[in-house]
Amino acid sequence: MAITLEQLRKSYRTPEGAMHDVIRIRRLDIPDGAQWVITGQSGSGKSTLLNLLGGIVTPDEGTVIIDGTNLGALSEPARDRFRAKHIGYVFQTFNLLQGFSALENVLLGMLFAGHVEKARAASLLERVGLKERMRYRPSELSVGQQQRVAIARALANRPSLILADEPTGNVDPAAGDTIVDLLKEICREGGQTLLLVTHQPQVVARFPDVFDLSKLQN
Amino acid sequence: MTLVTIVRKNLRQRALASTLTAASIALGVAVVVGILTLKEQSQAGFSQSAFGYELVVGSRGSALQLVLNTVYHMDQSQGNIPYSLYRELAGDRRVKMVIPVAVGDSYQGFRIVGTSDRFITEFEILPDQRFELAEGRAFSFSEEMLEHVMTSSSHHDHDHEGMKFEAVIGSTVAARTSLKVGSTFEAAHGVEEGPGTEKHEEVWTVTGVLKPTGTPNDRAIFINLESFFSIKGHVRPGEEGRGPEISAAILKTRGGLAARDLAYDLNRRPDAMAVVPAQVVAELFEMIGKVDKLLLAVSVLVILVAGVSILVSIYNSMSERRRPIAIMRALGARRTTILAIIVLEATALCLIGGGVGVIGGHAMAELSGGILKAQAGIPITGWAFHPLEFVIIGGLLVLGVLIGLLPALKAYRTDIAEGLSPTV
Repeated sequence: MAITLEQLRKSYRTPEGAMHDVIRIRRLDIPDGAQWVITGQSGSGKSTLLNLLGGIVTPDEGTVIIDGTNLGALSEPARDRFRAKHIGYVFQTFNLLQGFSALENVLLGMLFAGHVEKARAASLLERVGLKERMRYRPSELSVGQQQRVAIARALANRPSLILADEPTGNVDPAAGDTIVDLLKEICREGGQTLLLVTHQPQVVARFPDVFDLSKLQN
Repeated sequence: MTLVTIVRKNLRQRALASTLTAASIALGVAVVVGILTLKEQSQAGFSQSAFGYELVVGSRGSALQLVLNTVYHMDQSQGNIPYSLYRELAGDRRVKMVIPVAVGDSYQGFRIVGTSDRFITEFEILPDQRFELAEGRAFSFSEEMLEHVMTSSSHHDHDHEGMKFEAVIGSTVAARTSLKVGSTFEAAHGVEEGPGTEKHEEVWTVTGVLKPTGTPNDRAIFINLESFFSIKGHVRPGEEGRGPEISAAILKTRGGLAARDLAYDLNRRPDAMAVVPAQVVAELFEMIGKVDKLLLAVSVLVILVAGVSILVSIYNSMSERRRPIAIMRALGARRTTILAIIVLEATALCLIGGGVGVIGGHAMAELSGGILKAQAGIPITGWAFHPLEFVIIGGLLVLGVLIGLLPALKAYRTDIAEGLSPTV
């Protein structure tokens, strides 16, 4: 999935009342199937960029074009539908729903895209090594296992773009490496574009294509 | 996985609050349904058994007490009327049939009614419906013996010579006691049998068992009037300076304006009054109606307060549910989907509470109906559905949607980025 950002600007109001530009990108082209790590100082707008790419927030100016679709031109429900069908999210805090089993968390991702395939959900969990833990609730899984569930959920709707926001932030370095390798491997297999935000050098080191957001903004 | 699954899991996660709020709805609905069912059933039961005849004639006093005592075999007799009045009525050309009723004794709590055999064989207790014997025959009734008893001044004048002590029992009496055709029993003095109750020495033989009628008569034991007057210990005709007396008379006229005319004439007498049982029952229900309207109003208030508690419970949970809502939104759930989930939660609580309340209300009515049936013989089933119950369920559906909307709008406005922030 090719992505183009043009004249993108997103600003927030500071507690003092002044407007602060968090994202200012003149142009950025991300090729289809790319595996990028996006890094930068704290507050450099890494998460905001992912939210803009996911259509969770809208830019103040500029366009986010994903596979020819200008997210800003879509209505909010259309953006929600686009996100459900084409974008998979992996969060730092996993963001699994606590009352739901691993399998149900994956199915939940499918529900909002309009097609629930239990067999696919089960095979995804098997792919991330949780065949025996499908009925477990998040609280019954280790943090590493929880993040694997989150990866399976992100892949549930066969998205063409995976956005991972500090996916290793809450796990130990060894588990973090495993998660990053798993994400890269699965995305390579499925041909998905992977954009991973991190501030951890050992994670950055595992990607050949590194973009420092603080340097990218121009 | 459907939206209903999400709703079910959300409710289960807040199991205590969900249970308590649904229970409070259930309580209000149960009271409303219980009142509606009992009212409907008892009204049908009371009015049904009053329609076979037009007038009840008794001593002056409370019309309600007269009807309850004569028709429903409840309450105490408020006094007697002269037997001569019964004779007068029997000779009145406006009267098609008149039946004497004498009460004051019981057997195992079932009222004993002294009457004539025509009550069993000819009288229409319901419109176009007479008693039917399930087995046996009606008791023997002898006008001559009755006249003899009436004119005797003491027990010693006849002392049961040639007197038949026979009884026909209602279906409930047959079912609840060991009495059957051929059985014998002794009557207890008074309408409530209990420890220390004085028993009469006379012994009656059951000659027949009536088929169920669905009226209070199922709970009565009918004996021949002459045997009633022969009971030792009763005030005898001629004793205490009084002529022969009976508790009341029930009658059917020849139609037209006869009942009105007759009632007018009787109500001018100093020693008697005539009442239309259907009218008395209607007045009773009008009176009861005021009480149950109040109860219904209180129950509706209970339901509304329970509705508010659901609103508060869900609304308060919104802060802690910002993240799950934001997660669902990030996964592609539309705002309207989130709104639907929250509204469905409130509606589900109302409907679950309502469902439990409907069942509970009917169970309550069945239980209370059983007591009423045991005491008054009115056939009441707690499981008869009232059309208003559909209105209640519809109302709960609307209530659920309304109380779900406020928290749902809060959820609707949840900002995804803020909700996903690690600080939330």
